[in-house]
Amino acid sequence: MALSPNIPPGSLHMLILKSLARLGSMHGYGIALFLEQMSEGVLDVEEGSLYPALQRLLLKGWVRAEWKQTENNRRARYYTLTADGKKALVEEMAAFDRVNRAITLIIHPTEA
Amino acid sequence: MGFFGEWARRIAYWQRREQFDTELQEEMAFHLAQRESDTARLRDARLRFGNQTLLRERSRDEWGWTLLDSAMADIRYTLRGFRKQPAFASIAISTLAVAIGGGTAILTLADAVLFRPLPYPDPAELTLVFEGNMQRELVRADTAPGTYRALRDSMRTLRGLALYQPSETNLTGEGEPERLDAARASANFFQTVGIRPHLGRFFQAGEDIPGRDSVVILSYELWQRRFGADVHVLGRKILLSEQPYTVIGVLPPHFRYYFDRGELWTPFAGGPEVWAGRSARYIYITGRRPNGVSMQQVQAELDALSAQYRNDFPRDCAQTKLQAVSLRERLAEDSRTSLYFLLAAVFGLLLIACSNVASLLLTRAVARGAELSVRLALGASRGRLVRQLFTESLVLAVAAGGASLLVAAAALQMLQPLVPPGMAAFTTLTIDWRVVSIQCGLALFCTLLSGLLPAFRTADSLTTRAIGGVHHERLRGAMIAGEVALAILLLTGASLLFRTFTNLNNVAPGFEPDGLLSMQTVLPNSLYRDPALRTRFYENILERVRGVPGVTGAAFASAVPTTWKGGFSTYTAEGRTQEPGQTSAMMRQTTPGYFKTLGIPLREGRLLAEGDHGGSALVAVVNEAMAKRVWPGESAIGKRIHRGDAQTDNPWITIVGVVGDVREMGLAAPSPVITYFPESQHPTATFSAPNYLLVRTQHSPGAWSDAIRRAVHEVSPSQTVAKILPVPEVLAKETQERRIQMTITVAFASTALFLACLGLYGLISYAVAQRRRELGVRLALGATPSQLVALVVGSGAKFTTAGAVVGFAAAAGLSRFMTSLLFQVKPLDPAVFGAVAGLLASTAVIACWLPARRARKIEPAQALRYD
Repeated sequence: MALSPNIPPGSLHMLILKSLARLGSMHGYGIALFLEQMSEGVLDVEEGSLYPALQRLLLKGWVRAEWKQTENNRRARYYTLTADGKKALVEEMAAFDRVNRAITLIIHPTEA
Repeated sequence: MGFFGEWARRIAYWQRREQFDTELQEEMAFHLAQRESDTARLRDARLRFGNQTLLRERSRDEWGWTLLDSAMADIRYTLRGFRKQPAFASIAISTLAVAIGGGTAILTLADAVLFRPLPYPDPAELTLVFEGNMQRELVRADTAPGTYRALRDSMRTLRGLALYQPSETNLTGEGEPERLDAARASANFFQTVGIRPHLGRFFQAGEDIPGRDSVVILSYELWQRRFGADVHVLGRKILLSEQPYTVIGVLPPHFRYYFDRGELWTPFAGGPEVWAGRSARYIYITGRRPNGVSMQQVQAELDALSAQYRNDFPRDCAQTKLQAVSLRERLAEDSRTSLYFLLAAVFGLLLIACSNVASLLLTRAVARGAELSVRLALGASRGRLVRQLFTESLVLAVAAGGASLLVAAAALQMLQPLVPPGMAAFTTLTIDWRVVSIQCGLALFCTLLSGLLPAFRTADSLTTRAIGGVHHERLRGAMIAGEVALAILLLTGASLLFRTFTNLNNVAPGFEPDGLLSMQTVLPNSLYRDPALRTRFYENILERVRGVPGVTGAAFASAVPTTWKGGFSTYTAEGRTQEPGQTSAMMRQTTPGYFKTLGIPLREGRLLAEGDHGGSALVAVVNEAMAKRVWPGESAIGKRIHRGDAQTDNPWITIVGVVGDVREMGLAAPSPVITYFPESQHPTATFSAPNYLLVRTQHSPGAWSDAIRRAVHEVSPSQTVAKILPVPEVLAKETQERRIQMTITVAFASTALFLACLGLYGLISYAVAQRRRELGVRLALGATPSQLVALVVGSGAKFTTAGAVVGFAAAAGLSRFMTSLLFQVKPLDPAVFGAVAGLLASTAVIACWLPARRARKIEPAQALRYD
């Protein structure tokens, strides 16, 4: 399995896009660290599965990649959101919110 | 957008997929190294990361290259297969290319002639009016100015009726004198046609009144060529046949209307006598049929008006039958049958080519049955195999499509002369994007048709091979029977056209064209005004030309025979009551040497001579057709005629000779009645002025053009000499359309025959291979090798006969639609059908016999052990 059951299927793309939106330009490892820290270790990503996902985002034209030097002077591939990517993130988040609210309504009817 | 962007990125990355792997590997290594340095435990890092190989594979999968990769493999595999069997590939590709390329070219021609909108605003409204004859079928004949005036004032269904007339003029005073095809038109003509001038303006009302008509409009091409595209040309005075004209406008590029002339347009200005004339018919009428008015309504009005004219002008209009036809229809109508025929022929060829390629692919697939079974057994999916076979057809399609572009380009050039003259100026047959898309469609359609069937059958027959063979042979047999039937249709059409063409070429035109050179030399108007001067001028030129070494004769005449199918005038024969509609003859003016120069034989009496001049008795020579029509059973010599009808009092002219008939109306039409006058006695009949110089040379007339032009210029430096052409070439133009038709059809038919025989050959070879064991058993049981050959050939003969029966029945039913394309050959000509049958039978026998010979070589013992 690509994702640990902890991550709702299909949401990895959105998480990566969101991370890049916050971080600006970042390499795969940085994205993994960010996800881990932001979710306070709750979201458990099989880190390698970031890479196929990143390839898909490249194909869709939502991110672009370039090789750069890290602060420790190592070569790493940095990913950046494109304009299309920013649009896609907004759409995916809106869709996520809708679904999320719907699920919440069902699970906790009183809270809505 | 997103879809294409994705594909662009997919292909861009795919091209550097080697780099892709290393980069991914490096990226992952970096990740692991970072994680390791953060947690200081490599095993942990690896665990958190997951299976690297799998992840890399999944990354690649994200790009969806698997399909691309396998497609590339299929294509490479296909190309390797083609290289191994070059005969298969080249036959499949070239036959598809000929069929598709030819089809595209003919579609382009048909589209241009029948459908492409004409380059005028609202072209569907433009309508022509002709003055037909109640008795003869000449429904597209010219009209008289008087009739135009009457129509213009009374017609309600057509709007903006305008007249125009092709003419010729000399342009002098600006460099080399030049003879130009011109036109004259009423002031409202361009308004009716609806175009805008490129420069300046068109005619204004009142400019078609004599004395106010010295204005001229230039064609765009003349303006470019002769006036250097000078925008200040407006207002300039130019000399046309020695008369000054003011340039007022320039036409848009490629403007032509109905006829292929008009480098210069001047107003049609006539005095009262011109507008009163209803018998001299030499103008065209056009108008617009407004939206909502049907052609039937227009024709109904014309029928009523015709009846009225017949009643009101019994002398001039006794036979008048006005006809309306849309411009598009008139331009296309002479080509329609020919185009439909060519379309049908190429469609037939396309079917044969597809069926042939399908049958080739099928044979190949069956021959590769073992290979495919192995691949199936090794786990290839059925769909994957079908895709492989389909890729082969697709590769064929791409190759055939590319090659067919070349075929189409060549064919289009060949077809260009089939564009009707009135459209030629603005219709260039080119390969444009529409054609390319037609082409892609055709190529795809053909290969889908020919590739999918065998692809599915193959996948199918792999599991049911035993029964598959039987079905398969029946299918192929049916396909070949169809090919034979289509080939017979095409062969019959081609043979009929071939016979037509040879018949036309064997027609004696009535004169001797070989070694004859023709050119146009129109004298300036000023010379026409003095008959004596004009005659002396002709004599001077002829004397000089006859002095050129190698020239054995020279004469001036109204036209090169067959090029001017007009110039008819009314005549009256003394003491004859002539039937209405039978009183006009083709009138030609010549200088005395005309008949000798052209080799027109004298039948009776004498030829025109030097002694027949302006001062002597008026004489004429008629052709046999005229002598027979007017004085049947008696000699025409000494009889008298005069120009015009019985009511006019023109002077009597004595017939002094009868000459052989000349096919002036074209090689396919019988000779009209012709009267030849000495030019010196009819200087005022300028419409039939002897504008053409005909020179008899010893051989290859083209070689004399320069010497003769020089001789003319020695007499008069400002004399224009144009359209220098050997007469055989002029005649070849007469038959050009049929020659092209015939050549294309013969090419199609021979390709079809070749393909059908190829199919037959394949079928028999296959049958011999398939029935090896059976034949071996028969041999072992005592059959002779010849009996085996007969057996195998017989199976081919079955399909050929079936195809032939269908083919001949269809040919017999369909050939009558070709009648208008034929000359001196009946659609059901037994010789043609016999020849086709003989040709087909002999080639079919060869195609069957060649592979059937192999049945002879079968060794019974070996055959039984076979497989």
